[in-house]
Amino acid sequence: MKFILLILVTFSTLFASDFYYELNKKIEIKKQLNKKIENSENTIYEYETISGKIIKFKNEIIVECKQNAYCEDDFIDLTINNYKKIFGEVYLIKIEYHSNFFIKLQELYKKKDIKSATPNYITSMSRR
Amino acid sequence: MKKNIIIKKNIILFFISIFLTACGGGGGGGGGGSIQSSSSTSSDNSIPASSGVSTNYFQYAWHTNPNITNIGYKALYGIDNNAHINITTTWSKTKGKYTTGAEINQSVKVAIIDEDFEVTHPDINSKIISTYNVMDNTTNVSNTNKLSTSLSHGTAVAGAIASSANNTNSLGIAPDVELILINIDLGGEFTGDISTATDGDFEAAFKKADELGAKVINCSWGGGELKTRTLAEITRLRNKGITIIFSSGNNGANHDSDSITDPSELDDVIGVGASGINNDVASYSNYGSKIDILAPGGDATLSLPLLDKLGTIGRNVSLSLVNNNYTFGSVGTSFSAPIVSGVAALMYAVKPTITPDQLRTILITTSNKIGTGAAYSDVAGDGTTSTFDSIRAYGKINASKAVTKAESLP
Repeated sequence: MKFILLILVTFSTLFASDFYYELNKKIEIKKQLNKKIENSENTIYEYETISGKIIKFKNEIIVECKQNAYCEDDFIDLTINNYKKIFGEVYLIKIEYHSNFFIKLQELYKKKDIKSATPNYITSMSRR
Repeated sequence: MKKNIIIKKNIILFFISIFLTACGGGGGGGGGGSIQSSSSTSSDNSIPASSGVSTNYFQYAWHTNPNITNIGYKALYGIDNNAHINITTTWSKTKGKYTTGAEINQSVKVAIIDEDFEVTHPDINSKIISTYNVMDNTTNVSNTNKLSTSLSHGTAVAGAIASSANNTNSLGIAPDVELILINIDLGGEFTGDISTATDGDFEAAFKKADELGAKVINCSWGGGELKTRTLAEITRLRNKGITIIFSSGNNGANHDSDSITDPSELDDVIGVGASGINNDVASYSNYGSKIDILAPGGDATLSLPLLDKLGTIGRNVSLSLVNNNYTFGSVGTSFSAPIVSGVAALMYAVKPTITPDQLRTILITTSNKIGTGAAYSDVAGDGTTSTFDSIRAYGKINASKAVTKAESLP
């Protein structure tokens, strides 16, 4: 019985964790499509959202802090060490393990000093 | 089938060209000789890069030159008398320097977000005021294309905007502007190389253009969807008074029928399709209800004369007309967008307070209706030119009318 419960909890945790917020709107993940492995740092993950959009990203999150807020404390709280300010109040965070990716997005979003936390989507564009 | 027709046509043109060259009608500034293949080198490749700008290649600039006197060249390619954009009269007002306002006599700043810039090219070198590479946070924007033998895309785009004047004439639309060159990793529409630039990279590119003072931002790329952060930044820039121009793409496709919002379809930008030497829409030009205007981009018969990498690397399709620092080797809406960006810069030069919305309205209401058949069949007959054709948008850009109209704004 305990074993079944454990499995149920594990599965529910897994599915429940695959979402994040964009412009204060919840984006839910339907399924992972594939991943293209170049090397551990440059692996590209591809997902389909509930709304049918395909999103691609490496293990990178873009965080925008609220104006005049100091959110590097929040990164430390969440044991995020690999980050850099890229412009203004915007930081690029690299997540070490993909299994943590959506959880970190949610944790960051909950912080009061953080305005937004979204995947750093791959945005493939071509010369014309 | 279509490809075969083009090939046969090119073979016929090849022999006509040899005939004309032998008769002294072809050749011109590029040193003469027969038409060369794309892999060969031009006979005047020894012209040093520093020898000057555009030499006399204005004679081949069917997009800017309203009076091509090289009859052999004109006849060989069948260049329509109205294929140009009515730019030369505008140059007596400005070539890219403000004529009024607080920055009078200073240059309008135009940013180009693209890939691979030959910053030492003599046609653009003196106009470059800033460079920035988004991908590695450096100022190196040269030799960034993964395919070294292909066109130097950013260079060609930059030249279409700002290539230097030869006396009074120019291959570029606005030779007195200042250029901000921003490198970002792009893929190829047909080459298979794929970009891995991110939402953060594109946002950074637009932010940098703004930070460096751009009034116009040229984007000769697309094919995917920009993401939330970049879209918000584009909206912010429009509200700040910066005009952003995107090319529509080269698949001959209707954007209204696909499942994505191409950048050229965004309400915050001006979407540009291509016209050819026949003064009609180019068959490859993507279209749709959100594309605003056409500008010359070349067609299967002839491209614009474009800047290329210096010397023997780069595209090197000379048609025996230009040296290897230039090329006739590529067509596309990539080169239509900078035509519009150049005209937009001239509009800012005569009316620094013009808004992106005013600029767009003027461009589309002063455009020339082109094409035949069903084109603009809904013209009301009241003299207005604001009607829309499904594949030709609001028409082909008319630089003279657009700049004059901008100047007259209160």
